[in-house]
Amino acid sequence: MTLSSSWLHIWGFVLASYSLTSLWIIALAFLAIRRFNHASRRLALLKKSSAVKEQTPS
Amino acid sequence: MSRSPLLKPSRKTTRLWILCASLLCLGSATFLVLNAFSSNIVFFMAPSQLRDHPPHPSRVVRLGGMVVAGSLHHHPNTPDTTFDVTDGQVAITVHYTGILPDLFREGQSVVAVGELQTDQSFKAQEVLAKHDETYMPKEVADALKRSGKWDPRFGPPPDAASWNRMTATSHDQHP
Amino acid sequence: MSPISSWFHHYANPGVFLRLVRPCLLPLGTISVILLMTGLIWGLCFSPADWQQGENVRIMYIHVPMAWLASACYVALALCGILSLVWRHPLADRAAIEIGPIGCAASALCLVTGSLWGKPSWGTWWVWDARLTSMLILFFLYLGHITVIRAFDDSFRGQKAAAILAIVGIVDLPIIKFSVQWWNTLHQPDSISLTATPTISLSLMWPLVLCTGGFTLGAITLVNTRLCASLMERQVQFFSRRGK
Repeated sequence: MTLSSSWLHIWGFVLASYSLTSLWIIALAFLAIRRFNHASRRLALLKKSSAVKEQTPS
Repeated sequence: MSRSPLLKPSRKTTRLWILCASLLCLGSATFLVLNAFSSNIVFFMAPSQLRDHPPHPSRVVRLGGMVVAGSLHHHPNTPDTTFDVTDGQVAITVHYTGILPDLFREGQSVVAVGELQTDQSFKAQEVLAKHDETYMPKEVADALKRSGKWDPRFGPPPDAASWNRMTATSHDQHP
Repeated sequence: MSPISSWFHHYANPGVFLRLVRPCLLPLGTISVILLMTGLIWGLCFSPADWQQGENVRIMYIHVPMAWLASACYVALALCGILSLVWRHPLADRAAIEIGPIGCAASALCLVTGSLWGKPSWGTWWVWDARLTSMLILFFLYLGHITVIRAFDDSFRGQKAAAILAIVGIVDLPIIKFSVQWWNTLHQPDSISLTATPTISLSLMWPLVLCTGGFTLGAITLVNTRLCASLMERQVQFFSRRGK
């Protein structure tokens, strides 16, 4: 007697692994990209404003 | 950089040596500990080990080995099964009540968790199937079986070099 | 200063690192997504089922790359630890902070997918055999590293403690690798090794190779994206403090 060989039993474990992994990867990639874009935008803004400051004589 | 690195080791070199020495100590300590506890880390015992060093009665042990071809009996209308587990030297009869895993079959390596009875049979509470390192498509396995090169009930498949270039279409050669 | 050491210091300088690595991120990411999509779809839909495990063999295309990635990330973490302790390199500490969570995710996914494979195949979600236990220890090492490196108010002390933890934990890697040879384990031995012919059919091996490549490249891209972001955040802090 073995475990029932229903469709869910045959594919359920595979699909659970694939969806779980995809979710994690997408979440990690999303967080990294958002953080990267945020930092590079702020850096560009700061560099621009400091360049403007240096050009204008005080 | 004015100090000569040969005469007086720089602080970096000192730190590197300290690190190497501590890693060496740590490595040997781990090795010794693992060596000492080696018998406890072993996940299962072979039938001959179990026969030679019988455990304390009613102590739960794990018995590992191959299911002997032709020894598997399902008792009709009950979830009870009986099968023999061998390591090539000694065979022990295992009684089990419950659901067997997918990979369980004759010729498969299994691990039975349970107690050795006084009549030298083994009463299992749990049976786990052990997978081997061979991965092959169903078609290749069928082709090997058909060609008579391998019977899964009598042991592991032949050397991988003889079949790992076979493709999933190889069954076409056998009408 | 020796030429190797000066070369190393040049490229590990945060500014140089950022200038060099930032343009590579997009191509690297694209290649890894293509590799991963090909490998995973091939593995999920087109590779044959195993004769014993049936469709469950497809879990291997995630489980094996994750196990490899968890070990590889730990090696990188330990190298960062050595660079940080011996050469006091600031970039090594930044890298260690960013590698930790990625390795932790890989080891967690390795454990979870292994468990999902074990239930139908072995008949159990978990056993305390040497391979599984040593992998669980690796996961806890990652958790410890992630916590320790952020735990101290004085970031230098946290980084030092984390570097020591990373280096000490390296003894777990050979135990993971050789556990299946040294002791009887429920876990099967490795199918692919440098010395012997693989005991895995080629039709199952190709998607595995693609997935491993894709996941590895993806992890490299992810770590470098995080590292670049962290260096830029540093620069933002520096600029805004100077602006005041």
